[in-house]
Amino acid sequence: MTEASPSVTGPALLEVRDLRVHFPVTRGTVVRRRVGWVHAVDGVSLELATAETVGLVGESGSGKTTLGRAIVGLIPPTSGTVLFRGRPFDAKVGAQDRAERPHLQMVFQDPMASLDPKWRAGASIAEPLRVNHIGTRAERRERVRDLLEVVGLSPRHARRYPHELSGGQRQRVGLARALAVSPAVIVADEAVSALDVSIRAQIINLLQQLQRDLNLSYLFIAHDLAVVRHMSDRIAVMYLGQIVEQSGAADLYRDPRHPYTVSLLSAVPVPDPAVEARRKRIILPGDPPNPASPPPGCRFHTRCWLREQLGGPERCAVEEPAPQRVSAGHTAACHFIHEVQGRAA
Amino acid sequence: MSAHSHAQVATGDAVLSVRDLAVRFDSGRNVIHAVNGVSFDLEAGGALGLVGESGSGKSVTSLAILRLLPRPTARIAAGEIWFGGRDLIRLSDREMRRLRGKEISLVPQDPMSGLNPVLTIGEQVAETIQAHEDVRRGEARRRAAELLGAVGIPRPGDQLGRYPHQFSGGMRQRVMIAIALALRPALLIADEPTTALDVTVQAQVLELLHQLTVERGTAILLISHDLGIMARMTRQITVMYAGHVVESAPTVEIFARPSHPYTAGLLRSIPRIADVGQPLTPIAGSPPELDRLPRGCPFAPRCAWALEVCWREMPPLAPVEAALAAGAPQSGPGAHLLACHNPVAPGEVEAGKPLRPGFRPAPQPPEYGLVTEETA
Amino acid sequence: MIDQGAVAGQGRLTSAAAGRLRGALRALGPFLLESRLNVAGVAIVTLVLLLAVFGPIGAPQNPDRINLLAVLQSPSIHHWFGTDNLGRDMFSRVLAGGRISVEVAAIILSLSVTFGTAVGILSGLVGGLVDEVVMRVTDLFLAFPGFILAAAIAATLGPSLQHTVLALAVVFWPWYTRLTRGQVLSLREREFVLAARVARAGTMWIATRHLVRNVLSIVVVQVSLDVGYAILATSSLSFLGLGAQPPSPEWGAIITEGRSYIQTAWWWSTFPGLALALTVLGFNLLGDGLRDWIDPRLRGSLGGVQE
Repeated sequence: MTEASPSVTGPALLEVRDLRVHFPVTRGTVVRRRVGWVHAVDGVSLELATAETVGLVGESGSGKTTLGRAIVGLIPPTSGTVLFRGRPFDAKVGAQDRAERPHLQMVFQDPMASLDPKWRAGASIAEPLRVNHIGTRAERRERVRDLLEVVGLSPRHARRYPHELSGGQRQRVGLARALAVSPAVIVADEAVSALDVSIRAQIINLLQQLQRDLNLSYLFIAHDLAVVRHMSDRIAVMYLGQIVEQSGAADLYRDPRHPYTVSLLSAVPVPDPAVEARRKRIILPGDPPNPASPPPGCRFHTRCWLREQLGGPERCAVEEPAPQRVSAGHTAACHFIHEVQGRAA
Repeated sequence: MSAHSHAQVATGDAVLSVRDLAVRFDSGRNVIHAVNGVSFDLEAGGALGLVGESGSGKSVTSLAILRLLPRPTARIAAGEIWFGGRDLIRLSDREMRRLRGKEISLVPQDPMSGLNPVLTIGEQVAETIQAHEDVRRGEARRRAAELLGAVGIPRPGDQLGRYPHQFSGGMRQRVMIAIALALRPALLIADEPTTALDVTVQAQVLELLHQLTVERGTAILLISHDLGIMARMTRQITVMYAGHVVESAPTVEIFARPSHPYTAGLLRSIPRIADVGQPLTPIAGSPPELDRLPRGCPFAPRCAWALEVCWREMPPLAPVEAALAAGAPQSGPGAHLLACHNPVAPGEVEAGKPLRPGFRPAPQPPEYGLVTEETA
Repeated sequence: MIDQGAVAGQGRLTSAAAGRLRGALRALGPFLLESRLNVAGVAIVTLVLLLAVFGPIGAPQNPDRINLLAVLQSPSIHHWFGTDNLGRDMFSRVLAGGRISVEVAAIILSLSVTFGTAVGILSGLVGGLVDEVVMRVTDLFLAFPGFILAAAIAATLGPSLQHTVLALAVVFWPWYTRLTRGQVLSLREREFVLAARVARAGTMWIATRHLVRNVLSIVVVQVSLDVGYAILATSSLSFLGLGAQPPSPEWGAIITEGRSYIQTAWWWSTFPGLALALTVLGFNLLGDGLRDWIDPRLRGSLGGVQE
């Protein structure tokens, strides 16, 4: 892969270089044979600067969740590197010196499952501090109280168990926990998707406020394009383990250059009946293909509306497109980025 | 009106008429008032959306219509559900069974729970047909293949012998739609039919649903929390909160002139792709506990328009003055109904609060007795 | 003010246990109301436990006291359960046997649960080769019919109550390993475990602080079901002569002693048999009730329909 989209807001805080995560597919029960590989993440490069939000969009099979988890260290990458402030980020327990705290943290989708049901909220928030031997007990207590305030809860919530909290409150606790060790980067994996619409807005506002106050960077993984658009400075669109388009948020919506991005935007229902009535929708045929056997050449070519319109050029089925530069900070991995313009809905 | 849209006949006969429906869940430890006096009409061939968040009672309403509420915990405590000239609540189980699948059918949220994992797709579709019509197996299978084709499953003849787990989520949902429409029901209830699906697959399924129901003149009751889907698929919208109907109007009206503070708040809190950088205006607080519903309007604790009377009295569902003045009818499709003591005036939607000088929302009265959380 | 319990309570065994005890007692009322069988279960188990602890102290006579003047007497005011061929008071012996049964069951289950659960949790969490090996070993143990295996071990080691306890512990442990490993396999993918890992928590931290408490409820249910089996198995082995040896008042031993007198002195084998049956029944009812109680409570009061 050639250059990733160059960062426009300063030196990269987090850099991912050609990351690949392949899972073996095994057959048999007693003796397991490896019959193939699932290319969940297949050569992803991106950068994240300080106080920046990069949105990661994709559907099932795109690899966005796997990517998020690989970056944070939950899943060991098959190849490629993750660099934090220029140094390789090692997520193993105690791998860096004791003084080093984990600079990357994560917030999860399911508020109920992300907290241990047998632990009180305060204990969950303090866990990263205890695991990393940060502070005395009294200092941790103080920190938990501060964190609760920062996320908009009150100290009495520390005593509550998860089942005594609402979905939004649980998500705030999860956020407080992620903030406990003062990370520089938070990976938000569908952090608001499981919340009610009216609560979602509260959490989104909270995330943005925290970014301003604490200089946080977010890798915001989601499938809801409108939310991603709202939260992100830059957006990367993933399909079958690869980034097919990367650009500033506004550019992506104004001038999408990958046919998949165009279809995604076309598929999102807009809460405005007038717009919905007159839109021309691009409906993708079939289902997203199996990550265990991606199509040859461009992975999207089997469902690509542009390819159909152009008469089915051979190139798409044979040659994997490298990211092409559309403009500063905007790349799209398609052989026909110029033909996309004007043909969209 | 084009031929490719759902009916909006001002005087069309209502295919479904719900009046003052109330549903209680009694678990022995507490009583949950899931649905409290819900009324709405759906005309033949029309498309009505029930919008609400968790706890709004929208799914329970659909289950009540189908008489599929879990027994004995749940009970229809009051109201009438008129369908085909009969009150469904009064029907016996056997009579309901004859209706379900044939006159009223359901596309549920989770296709896996609606499909039997040990029967092939062909068997399940054919089973539905044979349960209601006297046809031989061969004929039922032929019609099943036809239906699968109609929902866009490629090579339907070959797929008849496959099992649900061999299909993707989108395909399974198509099968559910095929089963639901097999006998040309007058009413189709779709409960969050695309929530579990990817965006592009969702577009396919919605397109399919829209096309088939228009083609066959099936009325559709669509339940969802997603206002975008509502904008696309429905002609009328009924907004529910804590088991009550708070606003009911043609879709265009709901988006153009939302009059209930909750509706306005919902619209204001959704990020839109077209908007640039404006902060979202969330609705403060969280949905109420349904086992401790206070008197008065359930939305009062979160309402920036709250008057003192709102804490005491539940406002009745009545036509909006401005809509009547503009020629809208008092009831039925086209009517704009609202349950609110202090409706949102035009222009206040953007602001997120009333613009009348010196207005302060009435505070919670001390005898209200409810501990409200400041944050959700 | 955040009190100590919120942040630092996790490691405090006593305060955590006290809290759980209080919670359990508070739940007793609704549990009893749930079903009459639950009441029966709790009543029988309470009775058995009380008798086991206090019975032998308040017993009318010393269970080992031989009185050749009162041989083979049928039940009467003086001897509620009659006497055996050595004139020993059967009622006192049955009471003493009750204590033995309860003690023995406690030891067997303590050993097997502790070992089995620890192995199961670690195996499930660590995975890989370790997990494979552990699973094959448990398969090996589970392949033998439990009772036969216990009998074989007891016979090999030499008949005695201690050896029976050991043998049964060996039979029981793989079930707990299987049970907890299965739970852990699903728990370890849950987001709160992932969050702990992102915070750099190690295997032991996750196993002891998170997993133990989350598998506890199903382990408790299994234990309550197994107590009955443990008592029954112990008595069965004693009945066969492989367990408690005379003059021990263990129920199985008494029953087998009274076998040849069944036609002339029916009370000898009958009363310990009844005591055994009642005890096992009580624990089974309690176990069933617990299982039904814990399950729906975890699922929520509406069983899923929330809207």
